Amino acid sequence: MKHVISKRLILAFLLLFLSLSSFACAEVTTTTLATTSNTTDTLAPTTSSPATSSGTTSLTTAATTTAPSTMTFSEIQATEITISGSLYVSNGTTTYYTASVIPDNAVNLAVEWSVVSRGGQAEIDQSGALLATAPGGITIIATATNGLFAEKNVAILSVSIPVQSVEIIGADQLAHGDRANYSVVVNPVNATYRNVTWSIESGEAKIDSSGRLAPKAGGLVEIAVNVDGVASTKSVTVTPYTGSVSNVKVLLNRVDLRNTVLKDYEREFEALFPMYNVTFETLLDYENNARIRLMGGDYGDVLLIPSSVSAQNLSYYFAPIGSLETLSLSWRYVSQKAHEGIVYGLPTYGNVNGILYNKKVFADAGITELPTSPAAFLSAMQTIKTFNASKQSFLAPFYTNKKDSWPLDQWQGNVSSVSGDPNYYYNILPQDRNAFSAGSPHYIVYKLLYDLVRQGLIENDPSTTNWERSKVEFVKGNIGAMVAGSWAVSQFIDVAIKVRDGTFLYDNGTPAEQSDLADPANVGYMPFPYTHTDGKVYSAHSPDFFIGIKRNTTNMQGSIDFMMWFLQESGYYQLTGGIPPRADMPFPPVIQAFQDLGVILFEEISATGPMLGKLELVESYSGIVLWNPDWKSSMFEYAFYNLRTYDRIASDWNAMWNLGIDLAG
Amino acid sequence: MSRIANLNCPTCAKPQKLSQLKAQRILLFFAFLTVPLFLLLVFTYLPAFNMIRYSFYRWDGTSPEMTWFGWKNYEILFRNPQYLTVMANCLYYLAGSLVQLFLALVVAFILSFKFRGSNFFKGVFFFPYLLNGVAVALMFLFFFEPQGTLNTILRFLGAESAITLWLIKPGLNNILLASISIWRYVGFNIVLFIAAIQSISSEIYEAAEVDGANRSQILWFIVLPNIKMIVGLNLILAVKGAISVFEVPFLITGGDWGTSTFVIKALNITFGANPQYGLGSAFAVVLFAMILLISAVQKLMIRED
Repeated sequence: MKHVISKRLILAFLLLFLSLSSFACAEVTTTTLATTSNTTDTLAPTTSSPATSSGTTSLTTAATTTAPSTMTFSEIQATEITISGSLYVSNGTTTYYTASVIPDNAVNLAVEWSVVSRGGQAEIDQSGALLATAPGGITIIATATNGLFAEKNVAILSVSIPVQSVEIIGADQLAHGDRANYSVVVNPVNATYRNVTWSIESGEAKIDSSGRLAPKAGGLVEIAVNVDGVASTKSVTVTPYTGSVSNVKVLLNRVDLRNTVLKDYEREFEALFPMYNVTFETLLDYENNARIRLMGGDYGDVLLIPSSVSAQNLSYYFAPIGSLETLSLSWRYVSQKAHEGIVYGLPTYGNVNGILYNKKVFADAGITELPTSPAAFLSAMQTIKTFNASKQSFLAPFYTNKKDSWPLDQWQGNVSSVSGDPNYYYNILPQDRNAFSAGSPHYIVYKLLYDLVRQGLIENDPSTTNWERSKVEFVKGNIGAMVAGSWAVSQFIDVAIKVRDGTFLYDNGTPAEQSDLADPANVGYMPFPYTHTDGKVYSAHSPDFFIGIKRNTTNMQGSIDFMMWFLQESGYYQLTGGIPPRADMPFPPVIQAFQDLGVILFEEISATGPMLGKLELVESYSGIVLWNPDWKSSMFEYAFYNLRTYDRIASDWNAMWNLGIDLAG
Repeated sequence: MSRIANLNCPTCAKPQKLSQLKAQRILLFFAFLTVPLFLLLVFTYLPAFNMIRYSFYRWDGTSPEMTWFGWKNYEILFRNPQYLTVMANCLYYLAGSLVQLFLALVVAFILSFKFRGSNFFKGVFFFPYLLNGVAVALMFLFFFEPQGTLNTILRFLGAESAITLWLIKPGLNNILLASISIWRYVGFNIVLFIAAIQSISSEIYEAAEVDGANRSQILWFIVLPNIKMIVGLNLILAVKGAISVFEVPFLITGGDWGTSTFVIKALNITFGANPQYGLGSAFAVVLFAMILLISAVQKLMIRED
């Protein structure tokens, strides 16, 4: 009897325990793994289509467990354009016009200038500079990329009529947080003035070249205008902001700027937009940490989009910004963060790929012309090595920074350049059975690295290199060249200035020795030395991180305002020395220098149709993940100890890539 | 639960039966077990089960859907030569662990004799095991660096020709890394062996001494057979350690210069650019299967004796 009872009890308890634990498991399962059947999303049909096959399960994150709301399509279009500038111009002179597009957070602030003759003749460039060539009437047209346009009728006179006095026209009162346009009235009315310059005399505000005033605080602001040397001022009363303040949280990767530039951004943005309180959070190892944050659902309102989020999954985490059709007219690279015609992110800036070189080291060794073939580059490196053989402090003609791994990945950016084909990387490579065979872009790019290592043109000890130290040694002329994206140029120039002034600090806080050898003018940048069969050098430029807005953010308006301000007004892309995100903004000097050399710049075309997601698939099947340093690192090691020939290595790569293509089907 | 409430019920006239007391004890017994079992289930078995499940899916870490992948992850793992070949590096550690066991046995045998300072030496040998793995890695990194301790000593001794880049020399670096593992874990083996040796009855020793056996004969014919179980256990642990070695090579060379191991590879695959959680899980499952297999084989071999 006793036995029976206790056995029953045990059984009952076990059942209880099992049901408890299965309940617990079930709960865990529903929070981490659940079969999708209820998410319906009009804008993202593929990712959230009801899963019917038993093979597809879905990971629910906080993003969906908090009731997937209907997506608001946040594309803000330009609604108004105003052209400012003189109504009368003198023949043969250049007059400057500006256009002001409203609203300020519209996705298409860029305008295209054109001129129509009504008897007169003139040319206008894309910065709004008009050159009058024959007297008569003309019409200047500024067209936004959404088709909205403004016209201004201008008369070209054969005489020049100077301005005698000017007056500023516009609102006397403005609320903090709003913006207003100001214009000038000149006397005499038919004066042919050329240039209008706006400035702030006193008070907290900023004014742009078209006379659009943005106050930064309540109080009195005095704006000034200067029209061809004749000046005037106007007082504007700014009423303080009294409304509510909402939060915008921003996730960025620049830990180094956390206490400096980002603090300034925070101040500036909150001054211009008193209705928001912005907080920056910077993440080390952004890619991995941000990915974890995405999964957790706590990823701020505005953030850099981790590059591992594939196009098909963008709609799951990010709010749609606009249609690809509209945005691609105003913004560079957006096709890379678009899916089914909808864009989910805008580029922060772009880079070209190439090689950093020390101009003085090259010149001293007698290299006057930049090499344009791998062979010429190798011989230049050899010359530099021989020339500096007796120099004690000289480290290497070419520095690889292998120890840090990621510098090897910088080589990968040159593959597109060598191909010279915008379609190559995303649309041809995933099915190229000769992707690593002799003559292929990968083969050419990495052969140069192999040869540099094999011929002993690199650092003596590649196991203990250090990126920060290499910057200092580079600017001091102890390193000839290194491969890096154009983002590095501004960093190196900055280091050169600091080392020259003796203010450079290493990561650990120790100061670098002051050196007069450091000169920012010596930091040079050249394209990958490869001349295409048509006799031209090509260079691909590609985006850095994109910025996006969290889907279902509680502060959509603030997020849009911040994103647009950050991309266009904050000065972030200038700080990086990169290619501006907006298509109408000019290339930075380093890239203009490329163009001056006759290098043909192009933008990669992102994967389309059956190639969508194909490259990632072949990468994972083949085990050659293109932006992972491991396979480049092994090649480096084989070269360093002369264990395998390059052709043997390349044929192994090719075999693996083909295996990847086969497995991907 | 109502049964317990009834026990305290003052109106219940029936006295407690012995069986009820026993039932109460059993209930208590299970009540105490519930929490640890629950934790074990949720934090060990469920993740392990999910790991096996994930290995049949393709997942990049961010996509809301995992795609059913069947055996394809395993196909990739076994068909791509670059994955299984890193297993060859485990041989260095396997050889190292055999050396380590031999050393441990000899040292333990010596230390098991009572002599002045034997406890001090036990401490000395055991100390590295107490050090944090990162500290060990850093220490040896500084030791083997081109401008590090070893080369400085060599330079001081005038042996300039022996100076080399220790950590990147193919083959040599793996041997050095395996030696670091030996240095670190030998103390742990010694302690286990000493404990086992001391459990051998002293009568056996005395009998052996009376019969005129020398020390090495005692070691081979008395100690070894008596601590067979512990040797077997240590062997299993050593082989497991050799297959799943990670800390030391990852921290010192990062898996570069031909020192990659299976776990480092799995880590790169799972968390590198283009992350593949499914393939990474498949790696873990294969590793798990290998260890299971080796354990089983060793168990069988020991049982046969």
